[in-house]
Amino acid sequence: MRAELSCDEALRYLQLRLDRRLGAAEGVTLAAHLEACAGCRAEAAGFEGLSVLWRQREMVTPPADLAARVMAQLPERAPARRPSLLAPVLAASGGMLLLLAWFVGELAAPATMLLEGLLNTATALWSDPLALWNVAPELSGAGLAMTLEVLLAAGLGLALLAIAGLLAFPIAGRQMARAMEGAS
Amino acid sequence: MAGGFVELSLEFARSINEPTDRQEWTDEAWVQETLHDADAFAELVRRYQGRLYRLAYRMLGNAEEAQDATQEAFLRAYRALSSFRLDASFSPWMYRIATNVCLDMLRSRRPQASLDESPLDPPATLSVEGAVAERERLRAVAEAVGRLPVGLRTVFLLRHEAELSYEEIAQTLGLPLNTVRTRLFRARNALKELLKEWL
Repeated sequence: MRAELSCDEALRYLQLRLDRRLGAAEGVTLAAHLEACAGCRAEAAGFEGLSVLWRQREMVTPPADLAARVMAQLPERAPARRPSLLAPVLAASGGMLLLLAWFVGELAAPATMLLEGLLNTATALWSDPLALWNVAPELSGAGLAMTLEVLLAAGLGLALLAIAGLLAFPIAGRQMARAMEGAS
Repeated sequence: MAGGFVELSLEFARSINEPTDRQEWTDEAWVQETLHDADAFAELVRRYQGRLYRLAYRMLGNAEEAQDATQEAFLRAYRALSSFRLDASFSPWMYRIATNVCLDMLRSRRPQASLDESPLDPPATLSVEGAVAERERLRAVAEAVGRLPVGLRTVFLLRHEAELSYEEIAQTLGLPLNTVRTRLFRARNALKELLKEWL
């Protein structure tokens, strides 16, 4: 427990006390300060007086027919919840990502074959540039064909993913924004 | 047939999840009920009409506008119920709508006034001339609250009229907790000054 309190802190404590948010230990510290400080004692009395005045304020009650008026002006249909697009859109995006991962996996083996082929070609050409015709079949082999095929498929997959993303994120964004914003 | 089965299952799920006494239902349960049955909104109106009307009355300063504001707040809430998150708390959401309605009405009344920065109108203190009648004292309190800048008045009334916690006020107004605390302090200080002859 702190022995001393500045006047600024005492004022802050007074506010907390008004809102019943002041702990017991702080209450004791505040009481000690108020006992010693006439200025803060006057402030405390002012705030207490304000609380009393506020509690005695004029009581107002709504007109007796207010609820009936409110109900009469409502549209007749219940405000049905709109089906959320968030889940299907996220599921579609997830699916596209899985597809992309599969493409990458498929690409790995033929890419290695292509790389080996290119390496062999480069080595052969380095030692004998005229041997190009001899190694040409290496390039047109299974590695190249498969790689091109998978590259094409991966390109197609990426394009689909981009389209899904373009559709998904604005929709998901709007849904989340609406959910967070409420009716403000 | 499948639809009927689903409806029946939902009805059963609702019946075992909710207290049998409908008066004990939470506000959020009534929101859910309203999504199926518009008439259920009457219970939310019954629960909130007094609180919202009093808030609007103190914000706007007269009964006629308070009634219009309360009706408009309920209408806006009803229209927006489909976007209410059922895991959220209804009370701050409803107060937020009511506060926005009041602020809109004040803006249309005084379009040039800044809501947070408008200074206190002179004179700085209210007169106590003549007999200190009860009626005058009550009017002085209402007038003093009405003279608070709107940003301070809103926080003060959400705390002392609606009796919301700091956290609920912050949530309702979308303000940091520290701003709520500061505005409340400034509002009380201003009121203490305005009403010092009555204290």
